[in-house]
Amino acid sequence: MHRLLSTWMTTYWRVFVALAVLTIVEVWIARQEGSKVLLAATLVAFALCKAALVAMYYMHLRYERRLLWYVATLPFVFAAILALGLLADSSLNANKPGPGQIVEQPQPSAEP
Amino acid sequence: MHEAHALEQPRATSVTIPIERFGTWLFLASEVMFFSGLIGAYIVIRAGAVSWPVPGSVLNIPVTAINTFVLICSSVTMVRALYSVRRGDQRHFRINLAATFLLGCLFLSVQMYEYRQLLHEGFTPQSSLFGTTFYTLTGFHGAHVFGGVVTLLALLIMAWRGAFSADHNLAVECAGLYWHFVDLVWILLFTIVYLI
Repeated sequence: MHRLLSTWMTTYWRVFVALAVLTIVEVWIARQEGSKVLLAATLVAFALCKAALVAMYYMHLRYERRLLWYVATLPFVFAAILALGLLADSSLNANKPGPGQIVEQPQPSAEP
Repeated sequence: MHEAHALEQPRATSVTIPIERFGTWLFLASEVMFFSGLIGAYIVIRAGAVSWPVPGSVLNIPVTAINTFVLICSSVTMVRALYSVRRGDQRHFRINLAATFLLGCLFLSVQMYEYRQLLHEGFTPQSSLFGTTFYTLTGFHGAHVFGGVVTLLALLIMAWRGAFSADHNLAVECAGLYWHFVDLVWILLFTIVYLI
């Protein structure tokens, strides 16, 4: 029994160490020079890994029934739809002035 | 791992999911949508902005990284609290619950300190789009942490009155789910707002 309890807690300590190490690595990566897109993609991948670790082990999703898996993952499908909609909207309006942009109005001609 | 699972789910033989746990997950699903909307707005505004400051030049990354570590530590103490109550260890349950509460308070204190510094330097919600989105995202998250801290305090008082036992701890589990969710959201916010 004692061994089982130790195993149970060891998993959580391993996740804790992984989260701490990933956070340190993230901060280090953020200070590096290089392609902004590559850095952002790497940082987002790290953040998603950390979020997955929290959801799977600390929120016990790994051990939950299928119904709760659906409840937990469905909002991410909606979030993806929202993200796609926002991306489509921003790409369609790419030529229009963005927030904070000052649009120069054409000066009216002085001649009648 | 299966043995560990059996320890973690004492009601695994039951066919149904406790309504409290299911309700908490539904609530968290709505919270995912809430934060998705905020993060989506942040990304669209940032992508469309003419200029955007490097977050590290405005924000204090090392202090926030330590604050992130504080929240991760609080998740561990919350897990340990649930583990202790399920084992019937009331003393360690209360200690870990109190530690989670204190770490939550510490997180909020550091966030208040950060806000004070930033406002003193002229970085206000009205100063720029970055300021508006920064205070909106971190402020709503801070409000969620505050809600979690109040819940933890209520649990702590109930724990001291002996309201929880090895068989009766669903409220601790649901509060723990919420607390871990708050941690999860901060992990994403820290990367998106502070590091990228």
